[in-house]
Amino acid sequence: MRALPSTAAAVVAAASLLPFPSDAPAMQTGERVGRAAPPDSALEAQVRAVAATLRCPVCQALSIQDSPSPLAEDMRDVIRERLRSGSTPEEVRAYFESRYGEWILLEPTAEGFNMAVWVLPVALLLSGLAFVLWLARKWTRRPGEGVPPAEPGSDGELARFQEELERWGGRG
Amino acid sequence: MSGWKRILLPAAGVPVLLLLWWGLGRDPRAIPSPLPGHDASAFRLETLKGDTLALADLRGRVVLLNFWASWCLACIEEHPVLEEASERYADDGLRVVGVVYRDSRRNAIAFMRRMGGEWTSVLDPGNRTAVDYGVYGVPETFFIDREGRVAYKQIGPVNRRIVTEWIERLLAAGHAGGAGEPPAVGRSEGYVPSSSGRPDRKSGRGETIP
Repeated sequence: MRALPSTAAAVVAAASLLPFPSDAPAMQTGERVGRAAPPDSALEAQVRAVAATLRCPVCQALSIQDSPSPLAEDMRDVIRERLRSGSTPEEVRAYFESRYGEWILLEPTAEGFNMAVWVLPVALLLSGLAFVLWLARKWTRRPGEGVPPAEPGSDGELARFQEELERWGGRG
Repeated sequence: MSGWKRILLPAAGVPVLLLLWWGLGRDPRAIPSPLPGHDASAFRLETLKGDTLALADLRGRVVLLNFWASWCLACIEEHPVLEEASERYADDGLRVVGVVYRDSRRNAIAFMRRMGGEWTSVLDPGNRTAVDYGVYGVPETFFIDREGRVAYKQIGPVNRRIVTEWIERLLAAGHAGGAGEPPAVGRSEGYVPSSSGRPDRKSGRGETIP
């Protein structure tokens, strides 16, 4: 088919505009190049676990584990040092909280006013559902329940329809 | 629909709008610090000249601990304020100490030479001290009293008004033996003498001056 080569050409042309995936990571200010990755181990897994629960102060929507910023890298190093020297994950989290404040924890502790963060979404969801249910019932209420329905085909209309059917139906 | 039901939905939007108006007007970077009222973290670091400086050496003086970098524009802006304070209050017992944040010794020395100022700066390899002070950007300045407690944390450049009020407060406190009321500037509950050294989440806040 004649359409095919031009379609293929269009696809190839479009694909060539896409950036090739590159192995080179983006450079950050002060990033240390050529640093060997530490060997994977139980310690690293623990570091990752703790880092995933702490907020990066620079990229505030990311955890320290996910953030590419150099400060996050330093904070992961601090986590690693403290875990290695015997602190428990809870102690490490408490350390960061004592330095940066409560906001450094990605999940607010479930106490006091913070309970609202946990309770409110559920409460809103349930009340929203209830509201929608109420609306749905209102909209689908049958006409017979309140307003007298219009009778289909009152006498004169029915006779007229039948007459017209006979007149026109025969033609088709 | 009857009258009140008609406006129910739009009316429900009003508190949401108010909440957004209040919330979006806040500065997301003005995060209160838990440090004011507690002992400043100890450090022993190498100075730009190659000596060693420990925070404990400065006990008895009021310390302005300023985290800075040569690549930081706001640090250039606040530098004259620090310089003036450093000279004006030197005889009264003020020490300004800089902590270089993510910068090289060479850059730091060149910066001080260019901008002036005689106070010491220390290097912070691995940024351990910065993390210890809950620093997440520069400049950040800590006002530390004669007993080695953090009185106030300034996020962003200091200005003359903040520096003067807090330094004079802290210099006076050492002599009088009590802090009295914290100054109105800074919106800080800052100077809260804590009986225990353990950081208590609820006590002490330092906020930015808008």
